[in-house]
Formats: sequence, C-alpha cells, structure tokens
Amino acid sequence: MRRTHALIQVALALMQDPTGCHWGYDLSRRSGVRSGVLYPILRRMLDEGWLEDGWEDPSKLSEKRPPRRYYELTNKGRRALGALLVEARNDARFGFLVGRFAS
Amino acid sequence: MIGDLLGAMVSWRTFLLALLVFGFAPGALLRVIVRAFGRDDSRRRELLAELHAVPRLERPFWVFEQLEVALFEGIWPRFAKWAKSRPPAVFARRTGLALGVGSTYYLLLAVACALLVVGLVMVLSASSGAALAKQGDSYTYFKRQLMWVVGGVVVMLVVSRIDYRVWRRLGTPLLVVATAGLVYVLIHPGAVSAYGSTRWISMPGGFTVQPAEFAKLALLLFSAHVLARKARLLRDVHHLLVPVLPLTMLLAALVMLEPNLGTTMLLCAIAFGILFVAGTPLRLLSGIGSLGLAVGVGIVMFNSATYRRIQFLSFLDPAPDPMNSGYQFIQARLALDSGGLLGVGLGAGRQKSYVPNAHTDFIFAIIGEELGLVGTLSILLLFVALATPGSGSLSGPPTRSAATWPVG
Repeated sequence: MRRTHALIQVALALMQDPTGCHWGYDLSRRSGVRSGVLYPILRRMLDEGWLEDGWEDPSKLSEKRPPRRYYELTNKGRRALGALLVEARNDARFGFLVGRFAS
Repeated sequence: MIGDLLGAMVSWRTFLLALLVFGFAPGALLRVIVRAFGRDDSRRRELLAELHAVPRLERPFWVFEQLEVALFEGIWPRFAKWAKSRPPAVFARRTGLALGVGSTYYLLLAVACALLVVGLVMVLSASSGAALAKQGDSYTYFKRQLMWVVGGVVVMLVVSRIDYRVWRRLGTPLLVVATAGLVYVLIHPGAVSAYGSTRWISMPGGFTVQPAEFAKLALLLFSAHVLARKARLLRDVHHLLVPVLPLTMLLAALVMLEPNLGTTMLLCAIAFGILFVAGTPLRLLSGIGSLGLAVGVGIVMFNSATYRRIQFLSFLDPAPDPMNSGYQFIQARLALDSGGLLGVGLGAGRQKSYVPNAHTDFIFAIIGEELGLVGTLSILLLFVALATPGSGSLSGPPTRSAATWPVG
C-alpha cells in the first residue's frame, strides 16, 4: 500500500485499540481522514487480509435501525500496521504524526 | 463567463435548495447516493446503517462526503469492470480509452484523423466568406489548410516509422543546435525580424527557420530521455528537477528575449507536463507552477511590450474597450453565446464575419457557435483521447521515455 499521511493516520486510529471493533464513521473522526479517503484504505486493508469485517447481530439491537458493519484487525494486520508505524516514526515525512506511538 | 457561472452557483435559490435537500433529507439523499455501488456491494448497506451513528447535526455534511466515496468506490470500479469485460478494441472505439498497446496505434490514428477532418470542415466553414471577399475564391484558406494536413500526415507517417530509440539519441544534439540557434537569433545581425520580434534565421533557398520551434522538440526529447534514464533516482527531488528545470528556464529566457511569449509559455507547459508524468509530487509541482505563473504575469505587466499588456488586460476584462482591444474577445464570446447547447448549425454561424482571425486563432469560438457546447466538448474529448493512451499506459511502452512523449 502506498504510504500516505492518511494511511498512517488510519493505522494509528486502528492501533489505538488493536483488539476492538472499529466503525466507519468513528474511525474517520478519530483519524481525521474523510470518508472518501478512509473507505478505499479500509477496502485495501480487507483485501490484504489485515482487517476482517462483520455485521452487528440484528436481534441484539435495542433501537430501530439497520445493523452496522464493523472492522477488526487480524493478527497479520496488527503485525503489518505495527511495522508500518515503527517505520513511519523514523520517516521524516511522518515522524510528527506518530511521535507517541510505542510498539 | 466564469463569473456568471459562480454567480449562478451561489445564488440564494440554489443555496436554499441545497439547504433543503441536505438539511432535511440526508437519509433520502444517501439512499440515492449509495445506488452508485453495485447491488451486492456491502458498502451500500454499510453506509445506510452508518448514517445512524452520525450525530444529527453532522449528517448533512457526512452525506455530502459520501458523494466522494460513491465516486471512487462505487462508480469507478464498476466502470473499470465494465471496461475490462469487453474486448479492448471495441472498448477503445466506444470510449476513446485504449487498453492494449496494439489498439492504441489505431485509436491514435482514428482520433488524429477525426480532428483533422473536423479541422478542415470548420476552417472551410469559418473562412469561406472572408476568403471570397479578400481573395475571390472561397476555398483559399481551405486549400492552404488541406496542404498542411497532407504534409503533416506524410511527416507523421514517416516519423512514426522511426524507432523511438533513434529519437532518444537525437535529443541532445538537437538541443545543442536549438540553443545555438536561439543565441544566434539574439546576437547575429543577419537574423530576420518581423512584427517587432527577431525569431527567424534565413536559410539558403529562400525560406526561414525558427529555432524556437526546434527548442520545443529538443526540450521534449531531451527531458524525456534524461528522466527515463534516471527513472530509478526520481524519488529524489534534485534528480527530478535538476537538468530539466534549469534547462527550461534557460530556453524560456532565450525565447522570451526574442520576444516570443507564446512559445515561452509552450516551453513551460511542455516541461510542466513532462515533470507531471515523471511523477513529481503535486505539492512541489503546483509550487513551481504558481511561481512560474507569478513571474510570467509580472513580466507581462511591468516589463514588456505595451501591446502585450493591453492584450492581457483585455483578456481579463474585455468590456472597457469593446471596439478596440476587447473587440476580438467580445465578438468571440457573442459567437459562443449564440451557439448555446447544440449550435446554430454547420455553416449557419454569423459571427465569423465579425471575429477577427475566425479561421485560425479563434476558430474554437466559431465551432462553439455552429456546433454548440456539444461540439466544443466533443473536440476537447478528442484531444483528451489523443493524450490519454500515452499517459495512461506508462508501463506499457518499452521505456518510460517513450511514454512521456505523447504528453509533450
């Protein structure tokens, strides 16, 4: 995947909670990446096998709304993103974004 | 023209409508937007569900954002799939985008021929009246154009038969010759002047040569050659810019001293295009571009011939001097206006008797009048189709250098 600021920001947001579920809108707000950039990145991560997706169980919903789609990091994804962030920290272009990330 | 467009966009009625649609019915709008995705694309359901997670106040903006998602995630992959599903030749013929190298040749040929024919027809249409009045033969300019077309096609066929590696090797010598020619024109008293600028060298046999024309070709060949040879070093900005940018500045300065603004701008555009195709970071490229533009405008406004300043100012706003320096622009605009969407019909335009240089510099205005917006857009599309196979298949041709030329 091409290393861009957006990719690093999304990786940071995902690695904030490496084992939890992530939601599209929430990810875009936390990473500060707009949907038009975020969704293509997520799709590529799915293709790479870094992410797995799933749908909420409709029977467990309390309000009346359609089930949402969530994304979870796979083991492969955690390794890949961790390596990516360590690399980005030493990269002059991205260092300031990753500053506090410790792997 | 642009002002009118902007005015229409921000008029209060449009604003109200946008407010209404985005403000009160984001859900309904989203339902329309997600239709960009395929029927079984999970993104469709995902976005509809995701809307419920967005705070109510932010929903209109969020829905607006999804337009972009729909374009790149929905429409583009569907288009690409559709394009892949049919044989390249059929696809190329239908859309003007070539996929395979084999079909590119014929596509280019077809597009070039189409442009030549349209050009001939429009030259005849735009010039017959003036030609009859001035020369007594309505076909004078048409014949001249036809001669150029035939000559051009012959040259094109010859040139396309020559191996591109030969062209690569020709770049450097041609550059030396062109630069020498440009210097010669500036300092040698034997250079030929006309229209207040000294651009030509007279050759034995009575015809004249313009070194600036060779400079364009030389810059193109040389830069493409150098950048292709350095392909692996191009991640480094210095390698990317160093031979090409100073060279362009040198050539541009020499041509500007003639003075010849048009060719100077073309030289800069060539360098710009090559750097773009070679993969210069956009931020850097736009920086260089705006700097160049600022310098250019500065030269035009403060340090150049009065006629050029007047031409430039009346280009910005032709209204103050409608009978003189703004005349051409206003008449051309009238032509475009009266054409409307579909045009008044081939040969039926009236503005061609008013727009000066109707069959050369301003033929586009006449096309706009007779064939309308549809006609002008089709012609622009043909030009895009002419440039696309070159830039679109960077990995296709045997070398990067071969790919960078068509753009130039």
